[in-house]
Amino acid sequence: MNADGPVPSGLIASDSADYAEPEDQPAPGRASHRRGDEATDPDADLLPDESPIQLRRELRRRAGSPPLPPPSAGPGTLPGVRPPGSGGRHARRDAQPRPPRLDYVPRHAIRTPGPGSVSPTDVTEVFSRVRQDPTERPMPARPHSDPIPLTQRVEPLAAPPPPLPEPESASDNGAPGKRVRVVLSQRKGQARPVRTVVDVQELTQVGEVLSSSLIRSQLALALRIGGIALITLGALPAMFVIFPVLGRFELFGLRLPWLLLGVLAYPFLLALGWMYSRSADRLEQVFADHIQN
Amino acid sequence: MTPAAVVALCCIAIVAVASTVIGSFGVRFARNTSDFLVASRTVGPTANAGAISGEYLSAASFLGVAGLILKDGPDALWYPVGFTAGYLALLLFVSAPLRRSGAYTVPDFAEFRLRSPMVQRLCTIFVIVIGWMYLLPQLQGAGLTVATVVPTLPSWSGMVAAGVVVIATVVFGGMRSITFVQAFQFWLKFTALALPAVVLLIYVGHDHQPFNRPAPPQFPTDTMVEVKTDVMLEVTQPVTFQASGTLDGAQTYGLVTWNAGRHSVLAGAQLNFTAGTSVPVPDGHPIRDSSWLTPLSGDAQYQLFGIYSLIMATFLGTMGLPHVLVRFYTNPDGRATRQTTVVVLAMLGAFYLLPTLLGALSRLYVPQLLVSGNTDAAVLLLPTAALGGGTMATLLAGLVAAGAWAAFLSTSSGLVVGVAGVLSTSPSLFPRGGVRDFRVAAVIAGLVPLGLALVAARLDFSQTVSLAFAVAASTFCPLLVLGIWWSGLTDRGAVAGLLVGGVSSAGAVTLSLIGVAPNGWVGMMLNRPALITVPAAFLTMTVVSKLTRKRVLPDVARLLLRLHAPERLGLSQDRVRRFD
Repeated sequence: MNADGPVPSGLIASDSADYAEPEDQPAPGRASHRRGDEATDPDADLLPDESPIQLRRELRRRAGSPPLPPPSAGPGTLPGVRPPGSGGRHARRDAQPRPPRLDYVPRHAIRTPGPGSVSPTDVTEVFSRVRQDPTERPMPARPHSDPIPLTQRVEPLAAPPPPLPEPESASDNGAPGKRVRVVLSQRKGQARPVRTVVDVQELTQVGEVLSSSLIRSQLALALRIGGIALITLGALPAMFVIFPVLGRFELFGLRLPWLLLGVLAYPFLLALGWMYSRSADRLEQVFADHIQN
Repeated sequence: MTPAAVVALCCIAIVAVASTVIGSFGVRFARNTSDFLVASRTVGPTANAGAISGEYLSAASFLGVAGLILKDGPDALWYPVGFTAGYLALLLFVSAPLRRSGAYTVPDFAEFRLRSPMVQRLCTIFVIVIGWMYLLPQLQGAGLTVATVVPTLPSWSGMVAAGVVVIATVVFGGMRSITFVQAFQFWLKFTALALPAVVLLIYVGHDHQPFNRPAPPQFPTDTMVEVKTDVMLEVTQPVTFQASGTLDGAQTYGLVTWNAGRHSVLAGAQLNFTAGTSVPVPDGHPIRDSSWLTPLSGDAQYQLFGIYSLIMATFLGTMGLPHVLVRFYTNPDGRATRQTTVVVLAMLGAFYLLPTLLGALSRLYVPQLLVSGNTDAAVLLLPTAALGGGTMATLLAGLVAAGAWAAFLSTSSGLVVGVAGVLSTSPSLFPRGGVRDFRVAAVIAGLVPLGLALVAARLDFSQTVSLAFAVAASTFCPLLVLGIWWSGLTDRGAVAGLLVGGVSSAGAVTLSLIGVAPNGWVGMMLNRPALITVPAAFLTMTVVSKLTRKRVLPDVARLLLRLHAPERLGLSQDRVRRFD
């Protein structure tokens, strides 16, 4: 997926970084957490979470931008203290594009609205990032993994960001030190696969449902075709015993058993095999497309 | 040595040399062990299908099918149909998932799926048993071919020659070159039967006796039959012939008249029939041509059981044959294995039309084989018998002999590669698992069955082969099918099922191979055990797995997913990577 041309290099870099990430974080508790998460709320994916923050900071870092302060830390959180399990815990959600991405951008925009910020409702996505407090400690040049304060992480859930109008006000009263990154391409298409593929790979509940439905449909297909072959061919010996006249019946100058077993059985088997191969390929195609889109 | 024999021997020699030469050319392209073992997984569907068909069409298909049709009529058609349908079952249940498992052999698959060294070891044993059981008729077929085309040569010379060529091809060639060799051999085999079939149809056409006569077949010419194994013959009307040897328990020299009934002939007897005499037929097989034409015409009521058991063994046994599975591993991905299998179905279907036709024609032209019991030689003798002498007949006979020889070479080398692959990748025997170990294992894998073939008694090729199918169907089929499709399979369940299926089928097979099986139901069940042993193995595996439910692997869902998810999601891994 790095092959797409117009994606800014920062995106590409962070993209591959978060792609590889799940392997680094085989947290045992994760699967169950996500499972419950998604079982109770089918729209859980749409809820904002902390991950875009991390992603965007990573973007900036990769793009070589000046050090970035940690996001406005909530009261009582120590910068540098890593919340337990935050590292990659939801990182795979980075991959899930949520077109408006309102959860993050507006929040900062409200507090320190600055000139030049653009509405996130525009077709081109605009991220704004503001250092609100000049005394705020800048981020280390290249932290290996960003500490994300716990409260910050929880914040969006606890207090959902205000809806669209707010960013407008943000752009109206811009503050100095504000930096804007404009993303020119739609990331949708390439971002999604990571998420669902990883879902399937990690066998979260979604993944398990997807993969077991694939296996079940493949098995059903195989059993159906195998059943046709077995019943058709398996009925022949019994038929020849029950209706001996069939064995003497002639067609095209050949006795029926010779015609059926000596000639027609092979195209029959070939046709079944061809049908199966086509259908199985299609099932796999659908499965792969489904989880990659 | 007659000119015909010289021509046939030359053809055989050409095939043997060509196989080895193509093999040694191919090995120049083999740069590493991966090339050597799995042709670097780059073989396309059509080439691989040619190789699979070439490897699969063994002595049993090339010679045995026609021989059984000569003897049994449409009932014998279940052999080729089953041999083909086995690939449908393989396609439906095994091919793509097994390729995706990255397993090189069934033991590898067992280790991948169950992570149990015990199951792996058990599978290794059964691969070797099945492989050697399957190699036996191939080497015997080589002996028979040589002894048939050159009556002065003993049959052991053919066996030894075939064994040496096979071991040499495998040891020096490896998998990559064998792919070329076997694809070449498929087309050679196809031509070797297609050409005689076409020529016979043109020359003989409809100008032959009708098949549908309420009488036994007749000798087309004056015929001398040498009986090489004890046989019980049956005649429906009085038959008079010259004989020397032990007939009906008495030393006989001179003119003999047999009345309707059963008569025994001991090995070593020589019978001379004049043209037009009715042919005595082995006991238990249809005597009159009209009953030979109709299915299930024999006098045994348990025939139906036999046919269903054969269907079970061949449909489900193909997926457990060691040489077949190894071949699929040379495809690049699961989808390609499916395409390969479909092409294989087409190739086998086209091929099996030929032995069917030739087998039916041999009822008219070489019925003396019924007396000698050597029906496997039908295809070899048919061109000369139907066309008389002449250059054409001689050349065709040579071509058929060459094709037969190709059949043994390709199947045997495939089996030797399969068995050697299992041996050399089993860590307890060959800890290093490199090319060198593979070569040592190949020599072992070839020499042992050669020794067995020299001492063992001979059955009809198709029957011996279907015994191997029965063992494969009773052991590997349940393991593969349940392992691929059922997450509940446990290692204990697999071991129990393998033991129940394997011991019962192999025991039955051994009893019928050494000839102690009685007649009637028990004999039939020992000869065709699959209808009982396969369900028993499935049942045991399922029940014991359910009882040991706690031993199901915790990440079984992920394993199954890897088997079924398309490669482009990047979930599979290949196992032979460690050789790369």
